[in-house]
Amino acid sequence: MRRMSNFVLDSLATSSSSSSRLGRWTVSSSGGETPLSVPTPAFLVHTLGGSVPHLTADVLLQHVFPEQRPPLLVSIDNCATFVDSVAQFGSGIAKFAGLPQFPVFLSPHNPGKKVLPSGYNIGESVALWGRRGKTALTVAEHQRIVAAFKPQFFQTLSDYDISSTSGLKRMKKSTTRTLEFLDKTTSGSSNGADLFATVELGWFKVDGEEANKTVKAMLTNKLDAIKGFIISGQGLTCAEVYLSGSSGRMIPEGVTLSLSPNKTEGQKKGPMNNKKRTQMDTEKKSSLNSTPVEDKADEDDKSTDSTKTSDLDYAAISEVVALLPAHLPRYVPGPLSPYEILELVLLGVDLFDSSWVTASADLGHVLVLDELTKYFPDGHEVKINNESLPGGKNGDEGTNSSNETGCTISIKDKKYFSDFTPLSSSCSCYTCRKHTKSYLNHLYATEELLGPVLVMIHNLTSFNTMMATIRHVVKKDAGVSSQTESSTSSQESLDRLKQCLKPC
Amino acid sequence: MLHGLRMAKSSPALQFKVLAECPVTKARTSLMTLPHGTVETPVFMPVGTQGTLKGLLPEQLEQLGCHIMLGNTYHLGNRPGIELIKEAGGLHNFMNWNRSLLTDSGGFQMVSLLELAEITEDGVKFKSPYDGSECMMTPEHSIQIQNTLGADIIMQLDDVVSSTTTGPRVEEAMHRTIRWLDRCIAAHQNPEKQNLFPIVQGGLNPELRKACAKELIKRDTPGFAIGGLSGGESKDDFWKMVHISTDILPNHKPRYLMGVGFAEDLGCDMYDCVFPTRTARFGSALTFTGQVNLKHQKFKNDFTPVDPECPCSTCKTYTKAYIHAIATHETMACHLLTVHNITFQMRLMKRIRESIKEATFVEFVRNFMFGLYPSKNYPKWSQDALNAVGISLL
Repeated sequence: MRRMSNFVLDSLATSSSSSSRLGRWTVSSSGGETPLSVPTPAFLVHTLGGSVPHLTADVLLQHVFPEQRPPLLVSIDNCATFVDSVAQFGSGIAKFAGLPQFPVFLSPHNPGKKVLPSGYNIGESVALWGRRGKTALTVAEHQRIVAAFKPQFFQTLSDYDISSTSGLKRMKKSTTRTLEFLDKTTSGSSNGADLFATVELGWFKVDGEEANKTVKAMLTNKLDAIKGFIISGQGLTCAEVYLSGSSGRMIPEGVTLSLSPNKTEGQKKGPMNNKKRTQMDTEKKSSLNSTPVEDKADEDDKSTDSTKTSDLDYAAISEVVALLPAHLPRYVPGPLSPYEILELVLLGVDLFDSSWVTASADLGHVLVLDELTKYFPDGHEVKINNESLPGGKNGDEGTNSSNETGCTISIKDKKYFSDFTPLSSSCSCYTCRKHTKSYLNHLYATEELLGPVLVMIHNLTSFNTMMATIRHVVKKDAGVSSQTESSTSSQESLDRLKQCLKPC
Repeated sequence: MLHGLRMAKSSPALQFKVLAECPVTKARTSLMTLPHGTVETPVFMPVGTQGTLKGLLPEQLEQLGCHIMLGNTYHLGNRPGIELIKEAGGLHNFMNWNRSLLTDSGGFQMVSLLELAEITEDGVKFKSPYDGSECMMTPEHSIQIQNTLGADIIMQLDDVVSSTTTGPRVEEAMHRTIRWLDRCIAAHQNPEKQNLFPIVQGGLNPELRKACAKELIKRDTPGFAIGGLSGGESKDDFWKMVHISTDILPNHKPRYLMGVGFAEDLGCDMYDCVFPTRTARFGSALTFTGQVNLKHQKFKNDFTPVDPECPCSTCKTYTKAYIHAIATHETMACHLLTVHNITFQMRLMKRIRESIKEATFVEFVRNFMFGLYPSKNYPKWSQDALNAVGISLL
């Protein structure tokens, strides 16, 4: 039975200041049940090892997605150690990971990664970086994995090793190889899964003309096979990094990289050792988690500070979007904050992922959308008055901080030590119904496992609310909304939304 | 074998009703009613050290059938501290756990975790882990902290001695424990809502144990704990001390064996142990046929659940192969195994209680031990302990 995947555009923005779209993405789940309709803009649920971080299936189903079935974003790099098991299992990754109800989107790399080593895409393969170091993936191997994982969608391989400092030779290699990968993948079997083609942002920073030609080649030759586009490379640094030991594991983020191989023992250089080395940008470094975590050499970067200035390359993304056909969805992977997501929606991007939520749970950054839900109750289904939670001063407002720091608060902050109000007064998730900021503060202070569990529940729920609100405003913007009681213009709504999600 | 309606009347905050007794061993199953609800015994109490049970939602714990859990006074006294918990209205409120809680005195952790913990007649002298200043934990102070935490059952501060210690120190500690009990009782502000349990000490000396138990009984407390037996002592000595203690302690009051997760046959009603939750975090699952270390390569392609008969969400949804794949990589693996191991403990306790009611406890024990040791290589101390109460293994 052929699985359906249709993307239907419901509307395009009417205002000149935005290119946002509303769509409906029909996807089927691996269970073969009736297809689901995912309204876009939407987010894919970030996973690690196939599971939503910190959340077991029953907690996810009971407390985050009791009815919705958003597609999971599964990445081959952090599943590399058990690919064979999935193949032998025979029923696909969703079922293997205990989430058979959810459709799967299979990407090569974890979008939460902000740094990938440069110089390892050689021969006919692409380097993936996981827990045990490097895996070299050829198209044939990739197809084997797609067959084993049985996703509804998968992303083609691309040569991601491209940045603004790359030379023309590297550029040519990257585009040529990526087109080859696409070619081979489309002529092979896709096992009924829908293919998303990868376009590298980096191309547009090195040689715009060549980049244009490459995308046009994809559109000319392969459009029939392509069901969506991935605009890859946002926020990614491809740097020459030293690898520790023979396992080829990346040095943990935040550790100062040495340019001289003599300083540290047992290190291997990348093969391009006669090329001019690039040290990691200090700007980029400041946004990295500066605590090296042992044994997590390939863990994601964890900066989710919504107060930092965005390093989104709007111009480049715009340029890519302009080349792409309107009728196919566009996905920009990466740990994008709510504000960045909104900006990209306005540029015409349809799909995102929740890798930002994953990082925020570990850092204790909590999404507080009180402002948002005050102004946009429609984007949020249940309006609830939280019963006063057990605690001391629960009659008080608590620390009103959502204005101070944009739409996130850092629950580890001392000021929440004795704050007995819920994380968000307008949220009805389990965490907000049952627990206080004070308790969460304690859980993070003591590094208890329950902290990230509770914040994950809350942040995913809030992220969902945020997306629904964005759709609501886009709908208004497109003149589709039939709200008669609303007196604000769509531009006012948009401005207000930006204000609510804006970092300080 | 209904025991009738003898109830402990010494505490307004605890009713203990023995429902059935095993005719052969000393095992019994009872109902213990505390201010936050009724608990069926024998009961396994998971340890929620810092006001949380390692990654599980309080709601999940309730769903698993847990009615009472532990909090550690020492840890909570450090973080978040007593003042904050007082402001929050007590530990139940702070954690949002509305069933029963038991707190320890803080003494054991201090002695085991802190350098220069020195025991004097006044109390335990130690150096603050934060600023190095000298602090004193007295019996009065421990009770004051526990009164603030508000647990249904609180423990006296005892003079804890390592079970491998011998000599006059053991006797000194035993006598001091009795004196400290009296000070704890005098300091206890909340007998209407909180039950203070004394702790039987005496090391591995039968005479000291008996003497201690007899003295404690005179104080008419709502229940008793047996302490000093979860350390490095040999198992042979361990069960004998439990046996002696339960022989003397009155039948109609609950007995809490501290820091141990078994020995129902010897007549204890309450147990706590970090082992099931700790071993979960190291990738090990508990089953009726022994421990299953899921990190082992042999489970890489084992697509069966950890225990096909286990009703927990982990066994209903996940295979050993998947847990193997993510064990130690994803925190979720800890949660999956914690859920399973707690469920296991609950199932085990339930089977024990049912078998006592049905007068089939002896058969249960035999089958249980046989399940763990199918080639009958039972540990000697288990055989001895069981023989002492009339059970011969298969």
